[in-house]
Amino acid sequence: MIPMKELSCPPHKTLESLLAATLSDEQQTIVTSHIEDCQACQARLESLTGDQSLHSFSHDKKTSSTEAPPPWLLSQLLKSTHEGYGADEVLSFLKPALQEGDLGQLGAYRIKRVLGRGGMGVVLLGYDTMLKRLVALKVLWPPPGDLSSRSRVIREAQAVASIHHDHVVGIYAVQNEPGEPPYLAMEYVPGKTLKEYFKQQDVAVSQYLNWCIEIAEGLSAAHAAGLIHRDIKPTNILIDENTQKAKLTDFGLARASENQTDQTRQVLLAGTPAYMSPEQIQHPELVDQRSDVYGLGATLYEAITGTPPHRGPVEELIRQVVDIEPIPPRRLNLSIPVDVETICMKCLAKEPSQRYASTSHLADDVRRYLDGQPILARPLSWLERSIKAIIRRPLISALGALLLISFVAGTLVSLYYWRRAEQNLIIANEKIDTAFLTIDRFCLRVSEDRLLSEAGMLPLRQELLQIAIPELQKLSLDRPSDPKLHEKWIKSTYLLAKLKHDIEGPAQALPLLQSVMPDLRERHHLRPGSDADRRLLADVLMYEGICRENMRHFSQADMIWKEIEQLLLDQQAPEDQLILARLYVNWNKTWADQGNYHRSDQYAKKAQSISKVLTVSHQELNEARYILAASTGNIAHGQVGMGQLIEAEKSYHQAIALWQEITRDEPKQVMPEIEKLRTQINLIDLLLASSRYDEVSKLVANELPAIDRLIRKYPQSITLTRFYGTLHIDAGYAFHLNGKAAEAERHYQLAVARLNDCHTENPNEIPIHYDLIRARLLQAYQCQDARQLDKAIASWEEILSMLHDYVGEVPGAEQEMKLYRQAVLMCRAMAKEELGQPASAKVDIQSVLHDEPNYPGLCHITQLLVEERSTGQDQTTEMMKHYRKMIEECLAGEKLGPSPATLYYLAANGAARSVMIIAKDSSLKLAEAQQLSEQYRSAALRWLQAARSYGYFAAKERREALAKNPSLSALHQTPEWKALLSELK
Amino acid sequence: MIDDPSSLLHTHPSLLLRLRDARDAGAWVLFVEVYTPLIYRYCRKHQLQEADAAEVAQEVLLQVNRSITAFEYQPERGRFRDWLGSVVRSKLSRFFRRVRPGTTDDTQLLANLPAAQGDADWADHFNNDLLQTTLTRIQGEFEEHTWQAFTQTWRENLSAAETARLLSMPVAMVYVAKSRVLKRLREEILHLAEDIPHLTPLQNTGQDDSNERAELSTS
Repeated sequence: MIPMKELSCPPHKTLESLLAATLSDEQQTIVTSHIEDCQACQARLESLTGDQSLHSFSHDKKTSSTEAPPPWLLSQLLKSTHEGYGADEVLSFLKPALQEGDLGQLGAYRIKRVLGRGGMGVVLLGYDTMLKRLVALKVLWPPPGDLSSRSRVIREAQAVASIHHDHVVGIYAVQNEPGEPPYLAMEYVPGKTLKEYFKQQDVAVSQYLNWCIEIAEGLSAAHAAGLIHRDIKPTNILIDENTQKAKLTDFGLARASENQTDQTRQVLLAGTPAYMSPEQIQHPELVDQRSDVYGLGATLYEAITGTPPHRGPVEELIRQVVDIEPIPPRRLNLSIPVDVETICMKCLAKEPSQRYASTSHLADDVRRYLDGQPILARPLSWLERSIKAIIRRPLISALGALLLISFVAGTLVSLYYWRRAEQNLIIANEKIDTAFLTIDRFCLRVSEDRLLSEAGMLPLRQELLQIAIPELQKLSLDRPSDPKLHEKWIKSTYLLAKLKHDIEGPAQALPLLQSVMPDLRERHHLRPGSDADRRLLADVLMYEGICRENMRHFSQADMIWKEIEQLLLDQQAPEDQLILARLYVNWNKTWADQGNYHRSDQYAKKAQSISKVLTVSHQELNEARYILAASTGNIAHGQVGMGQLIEAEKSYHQAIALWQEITRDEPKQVMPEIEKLRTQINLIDLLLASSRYDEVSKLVANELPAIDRLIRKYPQSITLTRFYGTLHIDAGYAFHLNGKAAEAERHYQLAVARLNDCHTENPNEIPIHYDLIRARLLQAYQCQDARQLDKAIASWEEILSMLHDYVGEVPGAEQEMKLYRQAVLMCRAMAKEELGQPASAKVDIQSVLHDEPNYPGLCHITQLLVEERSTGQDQTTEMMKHYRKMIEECLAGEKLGPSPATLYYLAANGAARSVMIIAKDSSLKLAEAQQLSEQYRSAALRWLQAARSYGYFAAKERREALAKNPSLSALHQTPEWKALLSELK
Repeated sequence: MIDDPSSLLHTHPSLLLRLRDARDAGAWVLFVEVYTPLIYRYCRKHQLQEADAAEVAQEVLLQVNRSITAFEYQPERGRFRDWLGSVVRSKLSRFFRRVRPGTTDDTQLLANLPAAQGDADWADHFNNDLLQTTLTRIQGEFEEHTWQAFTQTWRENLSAAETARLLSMPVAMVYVAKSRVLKRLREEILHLAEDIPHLTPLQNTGQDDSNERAELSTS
């Protein structure tokens, strides 16, 4: 039976034909009857009809609700899309055409043809019969009856209509009539979208870059109007075929402020987040103009590589945009210039803070590239990306460093090596070597690249270091026994400590350094002749000393310095001598920081003499020149500290000359130029302290072109901005003290303007904020001293709030700011008093008195002066006693320090006043009175001199003021007074 | 047949492709008939009142209409089912926000979006509902005993032999019936949703199905 069945079973093909109903009737009958009894054939049919493809549809065949939606819903849906602007009758809203060849009529426009369709509606080519020009009509598609979206569309259109720019498609009119869909009449740009140019082979990269600049400029105009575009993509950029100019269109998603989330979802639903920035996906409410920088970058990316930065289904796309770094363009097309890649990748940074701050920054950089100038974007930023990519892939993170190389080198070869390494996943010794090397190189760049410590670069730098630390930590986890690896381990730990120091502070770095110290000492002990071991020990020790020094553990630092000195003293090799010179520079700092300039000077001189020898004998040791210049500058500082001003001036000049030489030989290095400026500014401060105002003005005038040039080159640099501010403040101060109010004001204004801009851009840069306050204070002092009292009062008001903000931001600043606050309040009290507002002046004084005044005596004098003048009465004996007490307080050692002339003037006033009081005080014995009177008189004169040296008044006003002031009349009799007066004439 | 290039386009156009063609009036009708109840029932399952469910369904359908005609749903970027799911979820969450302000926040919602593929609840509902609808739609195309044979074997999980006995028909014919209905079912689901999991190539697609389509459109 079995063999018979086997024989008569139909072939597979026949069964398939049976199921497909293609067998002849006869065949079918035979087969059917066979199957009826054949289990084997039934099983075969079972498997032929067991449809796997419907599996997921069939697993729950029975349970399903059959509840039907209300019938009105279906009819509504069918109706609204038929009668509205649905799929079938897109143009149903048009009125019949008035002219032959037109599609129809919409308002005053004759519709010629459909230009395109988009998510928001349809774009028509219309002819404006009134103005006789072609226009693009964008008919918007709000859900029928949805009034709020209608009005929103209109509001948006109105906002965009306010932008007038060559590279933004202009809006002529907004129409919102009942019975019509709302629509915009826009400038008609004949030509194609940028997207269509991508398909052409013959568009030069420079052409794309020019368009990029144009769109960036258009965007800047929009941003200035408070609008963010949010949907930059190649299809939203039109290229005018007549002028070849790019124009940005479709501000459909742009809005000034509200409800961004909804808009974002629109784009997400539309399935085109390829050009959307990560923050737009994650935090739509945080979107700012840098999101448009991203969108433009993504467009540029596609322009030069032919593919958008990310592709895939929406969910995947979203993940990529948020998490995955795009492939660097040069990987896709080697002919793309490195700078263009860098610009592009900077736009596409995940962190907005790492992108260009604005589209105009982007435009500037692109222009710089096109002009053949160096661009500001740093390619390093995608080194960081590569590390991030490594960290996101835990499997291969041990080999991360190798990947790093591939990114650094950017060549296919290293990528190949990385791939191979990834496959093998064998961490061989030489690979660890490479890892160390790479991290080494990376850290070197990060920590020694001066520009990285500049504004804007600061967060990047922090992040870079943060990323490197775990990599390093992995490598330094276990102490290898292999001696060669052992050394690597020490080095990487040392490096890690350096990074930790930079990020988390010296206290965090110290334990790491100490952890390798026993090993280092042992190595040195075992092989005392080994140069490498000794120098490594010295280097690590040096860093420990620097940590101690920064933690202000001066005695520990001193001990470490001694140990290093012992280690190197007998070593004659230039490399050792160089370390020794470096040691002395640090040692010098330790003493200078403690205010012991005599000791610090010794070490600065040692550093100077060693480095001097080295610069002659071993010119290849470039660092020696730097140490020589730096130590010479340090010597000058010490001399200032010791009061040797003449010597200091000489040393400063030497240091400046040394930096100048280095600048000349290494024109590409910025650091020496910056150091030169720094030294120059120190010299200026010295001259200022010596009242050599004319020289200061001249020196500043000499340096200003240099600083202007540098600032243009590195507009983001915090250091340079501070220099700029300081130079102008110094110049302003010099002119101020020289009695040249107009010039002083001009310089102060420049300083304030620049510092203010920088502060707005970098609100977290404390030094800038500090400098700004300083500049504002001096500007206001100048105002008050120039007797522009109303203006001064307004300034004081503003400064008070600045001080308040500053205290809020900078922990530990309370004391210093309190001092400023009190000075400001007292100055304001004086100004108010002079303007005849004694009541208001009293409030200010009370507020200082409330605040534990730093200058209690001065404050009381001010109080009494205001009191006395406001009552117009002579003082009671009681008050006079009080007065005297205050003067005593004042004399007892109130250091006025670098206070405004106003305060000195005030003190002088008070002292003079007290001379009068003493004369009237019958309770004093004659001798006593004479002695006190003499004492106060000389104090008053001293302070008056000080006020004068601050240029308190211009000569003429000064004379008048002195003559008018009754309280100073007591001084008239003294010879000093007469001398002073004659000097004034 | 190839003389008319448009006939090539019309051999297997899915409903979603047809929607893009403004001239194909029947497509939208079919779409509304199939998907409105599907979405409506989904909302009901999520405890929405009848009127609310209808409102959300309406919003979704209108959104789909706008997006599909604007070519914003792109099959190569992912399944229609997932795309529709994201539209539904967004409208639903907007509804919830309106009704219970503060319960759903936007960022959370957005964070949930990428998980669309993992939304088993939606996928189950979509598959089951679409299956039911499709079965109802195609039932009329078959003779009663063919449909019965299919129902018994495929839905009630009866063996072919038992079914044959029950319906007094040859076992082979039971298989033929099952096969015919399944083929049609698969075709129709593909037409409606562009989406058959583990799609296996159809062997016999030579038959002209335009008659069927015409029937469907007018039904």
